[in-house]
Amino acid sequence: MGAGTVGKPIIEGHHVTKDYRSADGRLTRALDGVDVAFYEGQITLLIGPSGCGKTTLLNIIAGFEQASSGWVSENGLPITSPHPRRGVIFQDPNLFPWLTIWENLMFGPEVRGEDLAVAGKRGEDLLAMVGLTKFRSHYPHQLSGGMRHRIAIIRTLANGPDILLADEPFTALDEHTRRKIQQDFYGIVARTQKTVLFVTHNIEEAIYLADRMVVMSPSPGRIKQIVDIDLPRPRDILDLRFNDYRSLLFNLITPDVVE
Amino acid sequence: MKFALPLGLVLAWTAASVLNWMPAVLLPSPLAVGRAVAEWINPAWGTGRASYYTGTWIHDAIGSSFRAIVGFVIGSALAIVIGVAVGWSSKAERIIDPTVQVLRPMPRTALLPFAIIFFGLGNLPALFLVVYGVFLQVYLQVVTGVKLVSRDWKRAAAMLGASPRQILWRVVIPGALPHIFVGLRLGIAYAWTMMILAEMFAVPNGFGHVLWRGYEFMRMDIVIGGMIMLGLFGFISDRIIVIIARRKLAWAQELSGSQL
Repeated sequence: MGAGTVGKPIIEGHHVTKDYRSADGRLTRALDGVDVAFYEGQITLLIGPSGCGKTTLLNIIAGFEQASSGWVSENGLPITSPHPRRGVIFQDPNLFPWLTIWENLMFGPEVRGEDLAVAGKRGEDLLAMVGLTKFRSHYPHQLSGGMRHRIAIIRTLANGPDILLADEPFTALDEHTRRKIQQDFYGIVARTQKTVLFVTHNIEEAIYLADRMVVMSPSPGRIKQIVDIDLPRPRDILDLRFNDYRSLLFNLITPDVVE
Repeated sequence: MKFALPLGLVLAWTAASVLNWMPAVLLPSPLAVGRAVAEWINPAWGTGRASYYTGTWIHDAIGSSFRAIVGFVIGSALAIVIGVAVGWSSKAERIIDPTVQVLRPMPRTALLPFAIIFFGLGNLPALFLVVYGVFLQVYLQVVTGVKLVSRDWKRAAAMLGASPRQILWRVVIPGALPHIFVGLRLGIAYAWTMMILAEMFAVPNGFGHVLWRGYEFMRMDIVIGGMIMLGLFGFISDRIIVIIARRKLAWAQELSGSQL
């Protein structure tokens, strides 16, 4: 784990292109021939300004959308649909509001027909880890925004995925809650040694979490540069070297921001 | 507070008959209506000569409720099954929806002569009209509800490992329930409407029959009594659906911070 020690590529994009037809009938190219690899056990951050195609790429890897040309693979096999091996954490928590917290956590294990005693143990541990055990019989709307985000993370983890795909999951949170959840998230991921693909537009969040960073540029979406983040953990946002990365990324991304 | 308006209306009505604003044959007093309803329910409570409706109330109530409720259940069950299919599958939508959209703008009451010619007199034409009217009313809400279920809920379920069938049962249908319940409420009101229409012309008993005969005999007391009875039955059936909806939709109500 960590920069430098590169595992085997687990997710790969092979010349991935994605075109969308906009309302006026014109084609817009969201991704333009992207070749990329994501390595086992690493936290890779996808970062770039709006319109760089980072969320599109993540959706294609999740199996929610199909590439217009090119393809993505997991362990060499083409991805055509969602699979519980690739757990997704969305921008909104997306909990099912008619289910209790516990029923939300057990949704995946139930539909997959997993032994609920095993999954239940995993769910209990995760609930305890995020300190929300006493809310297990509550409904999502009875929790605060930060709590819902924690539950969304552990709902995905309780399903036992190999790979985590996160799409700006903490963007809607206030700064203090976000910092806390970033720490929790890193703690869980580090313990479980998951492979993580994480989309964000927040430079600080990216440096805090990333082993490796894929910087993208917009119109059409392309990969601009790969940056390995070589900082000790736990990371300190006030560290001078943290600041070096901050200015490096700022200078990479800012010229691409379009109004 | 909520009783102020109806109480005011009853007071105005009483005043109108006491002060003879209108002839009693056109607007009978609340008391006269009460008497008519009383002898409708129980002949022993009657005061004058027995009329066509004396003592038939229980028979009418059972007949009307049977037609409205059985028709409502069949119509809304069909609407839910077919509406879910149409909302979920674009193939089902292509096959079924255009036909429904052609039928829907046609006033449903226009089917009355057709129903009588096709099904004769009695329960059958009434049930046909109720089923048809309720179906169209509920169908649109079910289709809308299914289509408006959040894409991200479906994606979340898919990435957790749910099959399309599991997504349909565990996410789409619960997610569409708020719309489905609106459909059921509109549907039950429509069931009574269609039932009354059928009873006026095609059924020899029931509230609608009593009402129409009252019109023919110029008996405004039983006409108004029948209207009040219908309002009462409609209200009760609507409340039953609301009570079920409040239980089933606790989450949606808390989400919006308001009660149904």
